[in-house]
Amino acid sequence: MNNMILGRYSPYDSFLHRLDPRNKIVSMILLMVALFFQFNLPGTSITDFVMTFIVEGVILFIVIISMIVAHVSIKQFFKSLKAMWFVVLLLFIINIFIVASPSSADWTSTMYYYYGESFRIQVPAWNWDYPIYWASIYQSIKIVSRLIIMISLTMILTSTTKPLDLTFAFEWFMSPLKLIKFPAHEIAMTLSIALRFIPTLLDETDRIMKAQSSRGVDFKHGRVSLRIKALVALIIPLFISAFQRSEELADAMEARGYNPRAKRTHYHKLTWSVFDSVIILFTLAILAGVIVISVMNITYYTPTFLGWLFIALAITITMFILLGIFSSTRKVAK
Amino acid sequence: MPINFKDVSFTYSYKTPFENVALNDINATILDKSFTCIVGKTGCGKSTLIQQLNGLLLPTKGEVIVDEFVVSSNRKRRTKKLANLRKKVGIVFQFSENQLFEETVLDDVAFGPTNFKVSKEEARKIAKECLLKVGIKEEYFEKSPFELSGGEKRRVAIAGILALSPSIMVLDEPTAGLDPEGTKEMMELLKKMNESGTTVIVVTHDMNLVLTYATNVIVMSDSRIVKEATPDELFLDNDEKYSLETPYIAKVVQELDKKGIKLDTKVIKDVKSLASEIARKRKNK
Repeated sequence: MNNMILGRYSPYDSFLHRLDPRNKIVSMILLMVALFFQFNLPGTSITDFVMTFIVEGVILFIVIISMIVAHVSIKQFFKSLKAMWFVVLLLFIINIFIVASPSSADWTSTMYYYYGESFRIQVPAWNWDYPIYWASIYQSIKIVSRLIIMISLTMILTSTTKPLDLTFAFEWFMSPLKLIKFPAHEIAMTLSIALRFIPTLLDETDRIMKAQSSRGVDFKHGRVSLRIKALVALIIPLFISAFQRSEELADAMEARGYNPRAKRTHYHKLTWSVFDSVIILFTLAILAGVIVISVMNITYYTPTFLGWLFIALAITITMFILLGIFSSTRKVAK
Repeated sequence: MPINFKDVSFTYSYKTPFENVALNDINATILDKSFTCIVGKTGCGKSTLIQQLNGLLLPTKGEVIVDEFVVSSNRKRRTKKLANLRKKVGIVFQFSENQLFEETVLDDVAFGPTNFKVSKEEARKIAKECLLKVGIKEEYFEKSPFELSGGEKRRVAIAGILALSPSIMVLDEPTAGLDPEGTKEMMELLKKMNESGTTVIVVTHDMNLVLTYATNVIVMSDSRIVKEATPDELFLDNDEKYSLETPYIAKVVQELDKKGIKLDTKVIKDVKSLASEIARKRKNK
């Protein structure tokens, strides 16, 4: 369980930690949306791939700066990504096979012919001859890199925001829905309880795994059938204890007079500062830029290499100024 | 063979921002065939210490030696197949009743041996013996473990470990949440196991039990071992610097001591031995 850094709050007092959770959620979503634009820029030498990688590069840059500001160890991040390598690999392979269907007469198919085949997979015994195009390899790299950047974005959100603050933010977002009797508070409460129980359940899993290992269960080695049996020995006790806990919690809450319909106030108030406005404007600007280039098909201005260098420099300087002002980070007691 | 801890340190989430030192330079020996109690405040590292014994946790520094097995994070020093150590050292965790999962009590106890390549019939035979040993009656064997009471479940869990026939039995707070009768039965069971040659290591907060049953005590505080002693040395060493609760028998002995009645503390374990010691003293007068 030691490499479960993904999604865990790390207690520092940094600029990012102090931002309003509502802002962090919205900014994260804006950057994610910006990640997923397709670029079809006829009449320019810039292809979809190049443009995508530029956008990804900008967002990755923001991610890295945020990680430094928030004291998230990049090494640890890669370590925790290791848990995802299987998903990433699978996605990559599936995409290589599926994306490459240059039969349809859309613009992508012309792209496949433009880049050409990289190699063919041939299995003579099955009479199988499958072409792999460079384009589909690019496309797979694009998807996988998007996924990784997306994960890192969410990781920054969760490692700089207390789970409870997150649920407050969700409740705030849902509050207009209260007018149509939508149970916003109940959902937020359920969310915060679910979040609160993740570490408890992880500890419980760890405990049961150890108890079963003491009885000779091997969770890591051995035949698949044995490992499935081992999982049963883990899952059944885990479910039982989870149900027990939930019942106990419900009783405890009722014993303390919890009433979901009651009007309630919050001990912590969410506060929106000037810096929140600056950050959200910054992310909005990035999204706007991407939309302008992608949707509105701006072809009349193609930045030269120097132009791109200038833009990158401008972003770097802005970030460093922000960094310089707010990087008074210190570790706080857990 | 005794168990040796050599400069053992353990840190949870080592080399991450969540580092948490649980053991700090532990050097200790647990004698063969002893009944050792490990005591100390919650969070002082007792449970971490016992998990080093069968390699569930590997010490970040130092090593634990149990017979020919070496538990260490150093790959060259470490014994290759730590799984076999699990058969030798049986650990019963706190609230061990949560680990039951099979359909019947008997199957659950037989689950352990089958993991060590014992045939199903053989495992069921062993399971029956172990269940009887812990005092579970035959009519319970085909019941679901979830129908049993808390104390019964715990005994089934202990039988599950007993079925591996370990030569060292480690129990983490086996009496927590049991009624006085259940507690007594549990401790008598452990005493019987100890008498038949098993090394028993118990983590507990109940000092009365420590005085009555233990042959050795290890006191832990802030991830370190602060005292290794026999129960009578520990509780009659009056200064209470380990902030342990004094067993009521020891309190009586101390009060008698103040009144000028000196008793032989080595033989006093429970009410019975205290009474006979007082009687002996009176006769000698």
